[in-house]
Amino acid sequence: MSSFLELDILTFLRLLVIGNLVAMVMVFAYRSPGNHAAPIRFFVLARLCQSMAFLLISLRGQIPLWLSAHVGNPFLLVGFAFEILALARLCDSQPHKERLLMLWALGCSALYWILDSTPTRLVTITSLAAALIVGTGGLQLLGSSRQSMLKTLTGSFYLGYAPILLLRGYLAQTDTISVMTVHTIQSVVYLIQFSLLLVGTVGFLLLMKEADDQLLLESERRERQRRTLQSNFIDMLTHELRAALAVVKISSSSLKRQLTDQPPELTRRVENIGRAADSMSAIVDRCIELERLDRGEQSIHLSECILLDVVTALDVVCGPDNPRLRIELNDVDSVLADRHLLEVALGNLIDNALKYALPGTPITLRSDAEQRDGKPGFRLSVDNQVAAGSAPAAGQVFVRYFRGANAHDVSGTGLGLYLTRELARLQGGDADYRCGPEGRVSFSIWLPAPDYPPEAEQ
Amino acid sequence: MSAGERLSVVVVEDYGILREELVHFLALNHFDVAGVNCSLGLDDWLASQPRPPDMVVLDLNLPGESGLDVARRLRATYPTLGIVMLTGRKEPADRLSGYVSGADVYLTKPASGEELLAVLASLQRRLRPQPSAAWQLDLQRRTITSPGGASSELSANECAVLAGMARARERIADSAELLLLCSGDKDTLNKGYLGVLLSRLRRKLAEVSTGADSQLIRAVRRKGYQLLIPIEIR
Repeated sequence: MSSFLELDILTFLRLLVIGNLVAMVMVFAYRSPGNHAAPIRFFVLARLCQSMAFLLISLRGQIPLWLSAHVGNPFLLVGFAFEILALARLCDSQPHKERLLMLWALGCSALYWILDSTPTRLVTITSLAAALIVGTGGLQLLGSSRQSMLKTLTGSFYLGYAPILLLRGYLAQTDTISVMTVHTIQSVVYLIQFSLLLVGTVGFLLLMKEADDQLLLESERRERQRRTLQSNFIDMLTHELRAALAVVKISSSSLKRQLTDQPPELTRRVENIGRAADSMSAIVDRCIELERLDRGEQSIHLSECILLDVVTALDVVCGPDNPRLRIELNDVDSVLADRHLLEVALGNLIDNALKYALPGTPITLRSDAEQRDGKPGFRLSVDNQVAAGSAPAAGQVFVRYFRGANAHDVSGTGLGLYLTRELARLQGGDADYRCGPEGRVSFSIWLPAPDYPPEAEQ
Repeated sequence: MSAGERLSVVVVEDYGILREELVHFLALNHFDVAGVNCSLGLDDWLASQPRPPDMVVLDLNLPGESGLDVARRLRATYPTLGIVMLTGRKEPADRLSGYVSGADVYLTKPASGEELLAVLASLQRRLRPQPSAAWQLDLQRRTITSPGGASSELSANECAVLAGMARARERIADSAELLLLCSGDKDTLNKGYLGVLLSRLRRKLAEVSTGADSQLIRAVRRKGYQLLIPIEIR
């Protein structure tokens, strides 16, 4: 046992030099996504200082003593201090403690120069100073506000090294064991030092990872909280807006009833109030759909939907603009879709056509069988005529909040077409826009036929 | 309640302006209307009245007891009451809860006054059916009653054929289709049988007819038979 622990000190010192340099490079190469620039800087400095220290110590006898001992040992203490600072930074340490630690390391370093130290006294000073530094680091990790198994384990290693260093310092005086003496206690110190190099480096990397994970979790929690708040806010807002709009609608209905004997210009004003309320209501509905999409909470229930049934049941198709619509759908074309989402998507397309088509021009709805990626499906198109030269560019129409140059005298949000495409995609389909000559435009939705379930997000 | 009475409606809505507008609008349209702001107000109103209202227009987000709970209670206590939910909740799940809780119609805000009137009129048809001026065919009793109130008994096949013509588009039914509705020996179910059956049916209808309708059933060349009078099936 005794011979097992009486190791070649020089080999150990060289291993420590190499180990520290490798650890320094590895940590330097680690690109942490979190805000760990300062701990990484401290840790790299720590490893650099310690490798320098062990290099100088290992050259004892080949270089002047002042360089090996009076420069090497301070490098070691400062290296320890930086290592503890790096770990402490990951545990939300307080800056004044860091300054004290560094002052202690520098103060002890000055002792080498102030006292005309003998080799054994050098060992004692180094051991006592290092014991305090690693002990502080261990306590720091063990007392961290956010405790974890990793911190406990790493802290215990550091703290456990302190009494061995104290023993080493004491034995240096009683048994006159110097730094290069082949002795069990000296071997144990270097063994632990080497273990600490491994534990410190791995622990540091893992603690950074742990801190990043905690940041991520915290960020996710905040995001969930923000979304809940936003969702509650939207719910409140839409509820209140709908109630207020209901007042406008019912009031305008009352007025219309009471103004039956009045000139048509007057009833027209009341009708306009109703239309404006409808526009506001549509905006509220779109905002809700959008919010649901953004939250990723849009549920879909796919079923076979006969296109003609869906189209003829739409409010916009049953409304006063109905005569402009030419519905060229047969009663067998069906798609696999969520009925409600399909209604929203198609309603938006038809509403868009009614808003921007040239006044009095027809709007045609038709469906065509079309295969996409080998899957059969149907493309339902809404075709209409806009003013020549005013058709929007293909790349823009489905962009969120995009509004065409000719859209400023029409109420809208720039969300309708965006929603149409997103809802179509959610159901395993897509939306397209084609622009023909002389202002002919065609918006369409493609959805799979019922026999081919899409890879829709459920 | 008699058919001539105005229908009574209670608006349960906590938003004061909307309640006021709804009450005003319904009063304009000849409803006997009252407005309350919560379930307690509704209970007070019900306690103060000699009879329950015909219909309730109910908001869901009410202070205290929710609209859904109110609807459940009302449906249990007044099974024939017309309940119209008028709410800002548009989710399919909310609609489902509304209907499960007892709503006859689930309207979402902002509904127009005209839509609300149409809904109430539809409920009115159920609650106070107007006396009909049409012929009545009672499938259970197998009787046909003229607008004048005179009745005649029909056989099972006469009943089925008359109902088949009444249901058909433009009340024109194909002979083969009418024969399919008849029960009996397949060998005897032929065009001759149908002719005899319709002749008997014409005679029975003529017996109870007020006389204003000279021809009640006519043959349509290459199509079948057409019923010339509208019949309500019960």
